[in-house]
Amino acid sequence: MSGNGSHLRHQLDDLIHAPVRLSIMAALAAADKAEFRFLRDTIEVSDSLLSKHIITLEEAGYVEVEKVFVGKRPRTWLSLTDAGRRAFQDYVSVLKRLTEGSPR
Amino acid sequence: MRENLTPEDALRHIGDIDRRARRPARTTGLILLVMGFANIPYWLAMSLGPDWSKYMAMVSWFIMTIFIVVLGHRWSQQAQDREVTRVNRPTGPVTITTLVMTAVMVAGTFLLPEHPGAGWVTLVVALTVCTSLPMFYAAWRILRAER
Repeated sequence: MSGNGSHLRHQLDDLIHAPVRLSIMAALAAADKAEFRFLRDTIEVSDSLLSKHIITLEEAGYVEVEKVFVGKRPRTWLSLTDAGRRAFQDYVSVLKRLTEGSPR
Repeated sequence: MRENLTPEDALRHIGDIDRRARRPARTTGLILLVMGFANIPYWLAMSLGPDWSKYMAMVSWFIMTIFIVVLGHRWSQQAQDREVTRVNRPTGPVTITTLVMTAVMVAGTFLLPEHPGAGWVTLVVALTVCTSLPMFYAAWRILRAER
């Protein structure tokens, strides 16, 4: 979480509230389990940028990385952990509360 | 996308990514819906139609099955959706009901008299619609899971 203030925005998870990581979390929340290349194409980022943010989210315990082989081809499957799913739901709920309280 | 996200930007972005990430699942749902509707003329042709319509139905179904298997395999290598996995389970209710109804329809085509009366035709139409119900149910489960 960011900061110690009492305003709702301080409850936004800083780890998720960054464009690429938000995209990763949103895509994995929607698709349940996604292959690295599908995720890369869906959120339109480079391999290296995606890898970098995946490592951050994996270290935080939000994303699970599973490496498998299909024949001789390596595949990397990504999914949200229970903690990641909970964190994303909390994040969305804070966002909704923030937007409900602000004029459009 | 901007670096400093406003809550509105973030919510909009989540919605946009959600739509893109769920595209394979949504397409699977739509295919099941199409299969459900295509199933009705298929079984009507197979049960009540003339010989030429039976061959047409068989060829169409064969082509559609290949198309679905290839597409399904491709998507399963990209993303996996909980609802799609559930409805595709070999021992799941959708698969079992579809197989049972298909077996009933196949058996029915052998039991059907050569010139079926109104009662038989009504029964065939009712069973044909019932055969599509698992596919409609599966499509509904997948498509309503939009978050």
